[in-house]
Amino acid sequence: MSVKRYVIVAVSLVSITAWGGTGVGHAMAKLETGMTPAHDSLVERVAVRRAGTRIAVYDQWTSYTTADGLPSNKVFTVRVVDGRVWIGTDKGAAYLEDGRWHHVGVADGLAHPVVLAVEGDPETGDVWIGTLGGLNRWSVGRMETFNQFNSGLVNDVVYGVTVENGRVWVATAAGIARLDSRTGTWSIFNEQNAPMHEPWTYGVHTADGLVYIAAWGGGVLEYDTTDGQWREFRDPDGEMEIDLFPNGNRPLPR
Amino acid sequence: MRWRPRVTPHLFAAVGVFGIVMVAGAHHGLTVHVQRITGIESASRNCAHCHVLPRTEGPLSRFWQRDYLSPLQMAMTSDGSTLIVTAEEADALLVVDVARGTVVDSIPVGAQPHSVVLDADDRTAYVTNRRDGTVSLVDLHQGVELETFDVGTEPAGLVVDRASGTMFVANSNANEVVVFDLDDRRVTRRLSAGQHPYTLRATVDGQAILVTNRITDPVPYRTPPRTEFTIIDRQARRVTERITLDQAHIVEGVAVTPDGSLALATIARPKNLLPATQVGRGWMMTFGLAIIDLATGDVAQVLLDDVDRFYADPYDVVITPDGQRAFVTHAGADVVTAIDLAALRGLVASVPVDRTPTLANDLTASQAFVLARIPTGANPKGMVMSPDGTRLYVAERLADRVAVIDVANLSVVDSIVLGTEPMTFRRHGQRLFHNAGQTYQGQFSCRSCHPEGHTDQLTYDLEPDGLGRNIVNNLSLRNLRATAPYKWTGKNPSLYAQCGYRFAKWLTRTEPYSDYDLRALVAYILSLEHSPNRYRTGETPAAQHVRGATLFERTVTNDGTPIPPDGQCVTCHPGPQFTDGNMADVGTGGDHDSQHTFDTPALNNLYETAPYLHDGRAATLEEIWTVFNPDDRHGVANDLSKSQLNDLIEYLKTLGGSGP
Repeated sequence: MSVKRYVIVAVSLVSITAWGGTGVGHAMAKLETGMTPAHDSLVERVAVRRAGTRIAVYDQWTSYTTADGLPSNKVFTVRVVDGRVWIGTDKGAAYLEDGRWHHVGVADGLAHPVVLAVEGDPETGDVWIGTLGGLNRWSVGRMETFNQFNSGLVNDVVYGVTVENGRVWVATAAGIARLDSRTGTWSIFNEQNAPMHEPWTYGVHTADGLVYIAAWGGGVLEYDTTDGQWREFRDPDGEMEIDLFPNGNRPLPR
Repeated sequence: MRWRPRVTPHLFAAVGVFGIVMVAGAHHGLTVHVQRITGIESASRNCAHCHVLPRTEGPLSRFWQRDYLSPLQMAMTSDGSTLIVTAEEADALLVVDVARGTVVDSIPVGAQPHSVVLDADDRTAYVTNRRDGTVSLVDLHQGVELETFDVGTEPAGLVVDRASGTMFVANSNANEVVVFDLDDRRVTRRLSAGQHPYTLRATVDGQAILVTNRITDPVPYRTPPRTEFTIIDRQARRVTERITLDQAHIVEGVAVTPDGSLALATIARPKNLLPATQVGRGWMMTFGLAIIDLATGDVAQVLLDDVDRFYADPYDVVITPDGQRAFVTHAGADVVTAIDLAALRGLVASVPVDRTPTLANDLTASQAFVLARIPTGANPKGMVMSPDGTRLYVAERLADRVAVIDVANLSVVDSIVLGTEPMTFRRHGQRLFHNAGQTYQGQFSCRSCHPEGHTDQLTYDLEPDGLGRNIVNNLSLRNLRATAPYKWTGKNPSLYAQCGYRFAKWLTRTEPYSDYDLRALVAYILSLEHSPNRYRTGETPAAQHVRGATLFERTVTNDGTPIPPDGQCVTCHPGPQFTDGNMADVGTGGDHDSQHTFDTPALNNLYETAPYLHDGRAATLEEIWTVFNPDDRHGVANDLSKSQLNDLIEYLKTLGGSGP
């Protein structure tokens, strides 16, 4: 998958971001136009695409590799949090600040070197880092580890993290764990109390009070935080192509 | 015929013997009763000490109780004419005319007012109310509380940012500083602070806000404390730096030098992992200042103690407008220390960076920069300097007065009486609790390890049995009534025994309290209550709490196997204090422990008493069962799913304290 195509896919399926994680073996790339203008331009271009006109082609990129200070070229995730660009790699996390990549590794308190998810809490500025050995909260240099032994985290293998109104949703190999960061209260959603066929969850994202969960064998699950109701998006014909439809009459969110 | 009573010598003798037997019997019964309650053979038999004087309720209690003010922190109007004082135990804001030395108004605010900040016009005051979780907006001219804002849990320090219409509030029991929008009347930002953030202070240029934190960061088992000093960017509203104060905690007051270069923060430096026998060598607890270079983040620590005299519980620090002198209140020593700041700077500059840890333990260092020790009334706390820098006002919390210190002459020149003078039994105990005079060389007060009657969340090596043996987790002193015995070893059947002769012999290393003092101290300790339980927020328990309660009281495992009584939570932890008062071996004793049975702890407000278990090895509640209960000896729990364990723990957090 090319860098450019990856960014466009990321924009259309997940979120709008100026930064593209290029997957294993491709390191990092960014638009040459810089972060804020690029962000704006991406928004504009998506709007253009939705309006039916042609998609702009990006042709000026800056690539980041270990030569530029990345801990590894195997980059799994990227987020912009509080003005810093964060990435997750197989050798720890790192953030770009003032033109320099700062490494955050096991020696700094990271639970595991493999970082699959990074997310910021806009209310606190804290960064939540999902690793194969637990969940970390990075708060201006201070690292806390949450794992299944010292906290209510349901499983240490973390694939995805998102933050919704102070609640941290964590997709793990044994279901979803939710931490209310204001109270420290943990909740678990798995096949016993949510419409999951299996507890394995590989992704989680939120928007407008709705939480979306990618569940192995369970399609995409939507959780409405206002009323605690679940809605399932399943593959109606049982085939494994991308043709998700809601199992209900409620329209898809815009 | 004249009647003559037929009284014979035998009858006299019989009545006499009967009387002697009755008196002796009553005396014996009273002795047995007192010994049973106190565990002390020589305890006083004065009924009033236990049954009358400590009582705070009932129509008659007004004859021996008084309502105190307990001034804590202050602000001063820009013309220096008026002091605004938070009266912690009166739930009021006092307006004091400085020239007349009298209280001219007492304005009701929320429960347990703490910090006060004045608006630029000197008309509006902002007051944090710790027990309410609110900030009061007060009109000082009208003498009324205009509005209250819900800001969080136990708000303490406060900075009002008038330019942006926001205020920064340290929610001490939530380990956060919140940014509150005064226009929208809501929290817009929650910044993670250290443990128990306490005082907020803006830097000279107003660009940063400094945060002191009282409690150590969570540290690995058997590791000295290290406490965070947090710096917040005021405009960006984000934390920019977390500075570690090694081997220090109870960081409360902070001030910035007028040139903006240094921050001075009060600290305690406990040697909690050394045996308490070190008290006899003058080396258990020391107190001083952390000197933080705001440009580089470098930290030096100096002690304010002398070689043979300690100045316990430094609380607040104030610097003169010319930057020449600093003043520190020592709440446990009834002293204000005056410091020559130039000399202090010179001392720190003369010590190479690699020798700063040595400086932090140098009991002779204070000779280089301490100008004077100024005696004050009981429990000096917050201070404020007059705008012209000539007068220093000191809140004497447990004297209900404000001392006025002449900054030039370094002496008390006046005292402003705020409230009542008579000393009650409980107040006497309160003063003893907060005063280090009863310990060898004044090394520490009860409050040094139990701030506000709670716990400093450290582990201590208290027993005289060698280095590193029988380390114990410090416990809260709140809600202790009906939780005997005391100590993890259960050796003390009462608080009288706990705080009596053995305490003096092994810990304070000085004369024990007199019987009257001991009973007053115990009366005060027994009056301490937990904070409102932040997890009990509604009339109806949450579904998760109901599920957790069911697990707490369950008698069978998930597969239906009966759980023996000693494997059921509720057997050893029955309400209302959630302890049965018995000793138990739950499999947590180690090679370094002389015994493996420990007093069953009460569970009230346990969410704020980490770490856990007798030696503090469990950093979180989860670890009690996921790590330290492999054989189900601390309750049958290994069949629980992770969801069930979460439910149980969330239920445990709701136990005790006040709340719905």
